Amino acid sequence: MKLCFNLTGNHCNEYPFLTIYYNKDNIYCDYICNQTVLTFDVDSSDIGIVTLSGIQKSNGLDGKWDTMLDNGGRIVKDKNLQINNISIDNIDMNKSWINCLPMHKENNKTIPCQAGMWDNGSIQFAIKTPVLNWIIEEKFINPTIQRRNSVNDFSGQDKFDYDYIQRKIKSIKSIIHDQKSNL
Amino acid sequence: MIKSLIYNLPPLDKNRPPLSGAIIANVCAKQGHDCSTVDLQFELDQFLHTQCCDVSFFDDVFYEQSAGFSNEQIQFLEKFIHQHLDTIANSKFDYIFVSLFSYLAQQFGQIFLPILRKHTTAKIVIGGAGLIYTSNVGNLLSFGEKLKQQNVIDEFITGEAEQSIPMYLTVGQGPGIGNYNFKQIDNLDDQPWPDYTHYNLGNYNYLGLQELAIIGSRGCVRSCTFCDVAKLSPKYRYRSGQNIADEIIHHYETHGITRFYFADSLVNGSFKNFDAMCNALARYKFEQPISWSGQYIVRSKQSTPKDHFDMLQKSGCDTLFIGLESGSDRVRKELGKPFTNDDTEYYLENFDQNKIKVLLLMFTGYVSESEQDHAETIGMFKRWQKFVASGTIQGIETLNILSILPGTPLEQMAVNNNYLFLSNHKNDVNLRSWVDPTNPNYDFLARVSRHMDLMEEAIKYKWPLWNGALAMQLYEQAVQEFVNSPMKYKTLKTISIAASK
Repeated sequence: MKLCFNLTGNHCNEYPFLTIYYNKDNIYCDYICNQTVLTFDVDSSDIGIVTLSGIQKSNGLDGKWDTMLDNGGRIVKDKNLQINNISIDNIDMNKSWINCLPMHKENNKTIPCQAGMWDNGSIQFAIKTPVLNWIIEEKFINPTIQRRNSVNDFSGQDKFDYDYIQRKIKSIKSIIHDQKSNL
Repeated sequence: MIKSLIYNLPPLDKNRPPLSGAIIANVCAKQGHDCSTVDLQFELDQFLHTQCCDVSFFDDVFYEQSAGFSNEQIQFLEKFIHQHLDTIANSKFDYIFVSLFSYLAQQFGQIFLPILRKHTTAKIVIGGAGLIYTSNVGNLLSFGEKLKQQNVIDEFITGEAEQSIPMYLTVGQGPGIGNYNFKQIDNLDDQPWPDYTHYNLGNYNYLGLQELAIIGSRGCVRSCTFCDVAKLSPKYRYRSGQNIADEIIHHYETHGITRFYFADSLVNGSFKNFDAMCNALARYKFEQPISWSGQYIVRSKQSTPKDHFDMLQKSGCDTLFIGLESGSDRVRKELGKPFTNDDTEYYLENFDQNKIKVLLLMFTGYVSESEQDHAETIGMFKRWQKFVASGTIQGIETLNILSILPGTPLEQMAVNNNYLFLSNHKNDVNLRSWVDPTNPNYDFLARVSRHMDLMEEAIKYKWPLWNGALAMQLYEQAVQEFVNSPMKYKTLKTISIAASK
């Protein structure tokens, strides 16, 4: 399986530091300077857990801050890591999926990463096989189900209404079977 | 001033204003008429809402040709129609033009038109593609002829409104007026554009951004055996690419519309004009980017250079609806589409690279579809799953198992080969019940079984199923009706002779 990360490391004092694990293997450990594309060939396993850990922001340690503000309080420089894209077997995961990846922060809080690591912590996701099925579920089916659950007037007819369709297939097959048995 | 009212009958696309009404309104306006329009699909949906009924209350009839309205549905429709007609009771119209978009609108028309007749002294004229749905077999009266004979309408018009309506209003007779010998318009560039100012564009939900339908060509470059477009529009004609682009720019500048849907049978029938349109759209400096969608044909990969796809993307192409029909090259070639799965894959790869989405239109059960052909269609789901995962394939249309439609080449073949159809004492025909007497095991139920295989495989590979739930609901009903049907198998010739007596 081919994993590809398109990242941008933004500088303030230094560039963000990133470690990437695939299951327990450390597959990357270095600074991310400006826009960088990292590509890895990894073994397909039943579940491949990808962990991005970083970014070694100082947060005032030894009086060092990796964010610079102007007089108006606006950020002019910040050490952070933007996730521009993640692709798996040359298939791009979409922006909304990347935005929703959970970021586990050092204070044990988990928040949507919003396509980047703006503070220290780790982002983790599990790739399941068959990979294409998993990608479709992550990108299209799960968001559809979430939307369905959040909308009160759901009509029951969306593109992934598999449970309903499978019940109907069973019913139709049963009618045909009975008809053939009667002949 | 002469007052005209234009109706569009359901079923229609619920998400945008009807194109045909906007065209007829402009044609009548150019004749000096004071025009009003009513989209009865929209009005019906509003009425369903006020009555706390589900918007799918009529889906079983509107999308299932063999089903008729239930008594409950008829009562509901009559109530709706009377209430609607009360709202226009004080308006005295000289002409009422009624547009039937497809044959599916005939069922609504059969209820609506007799009631309308009693409520008005206006001349009632019907037209639209829905009237062309007539058999080539025997001498059966068409829908329009029957209604005229019953004095429910004053006239029916076939052919193109831009030509037929002025001719009807000025001469009262001629090609396409009360007959099917219509003449086609040669120069589409000279015709008025649809005028959407007659509709409240805020009424529609558009499934997102506001969207208008336009039509750039009429007819089709192909003559597929299962399709009746060639009967409706025998010669393929197209507007110049610049003329189409100018219309899009006009709607953008006039209404602020940024999304367009081509109602053409295919947008890329003429390479030259399609390229000209795409290039004109790519050149125009839209402040807000526009997008368009429409039906599109795949050709051989040798005839389509890679820069074609780049041009599509730059012109604002968003989604293409592609009539793949089958996963078998042999079946596709036999039904009139001689492109291969390899050609399709070349297109899908290039769509993928250019972020163009596609919806594949398919049906199960072509007349000569073998087990091998069926297996090849099944194999398509695994082969192209990567394009589902990338988001290029947005779905597969799952509503269809082959019906042999009136006026198609397949109908003639069915007559020549004595295919059998289920028919009742009123000579109504179940169009998907056909059986080739030389292959009796390949009946409707066998074809439904194949369709179920296809759906299961699609689910296995997580394909998005467009109208999947509705399709299953309708097929469950169709199979129930089929197994309980008191209808008898007859040839089309026998049915035609019985009906003409």
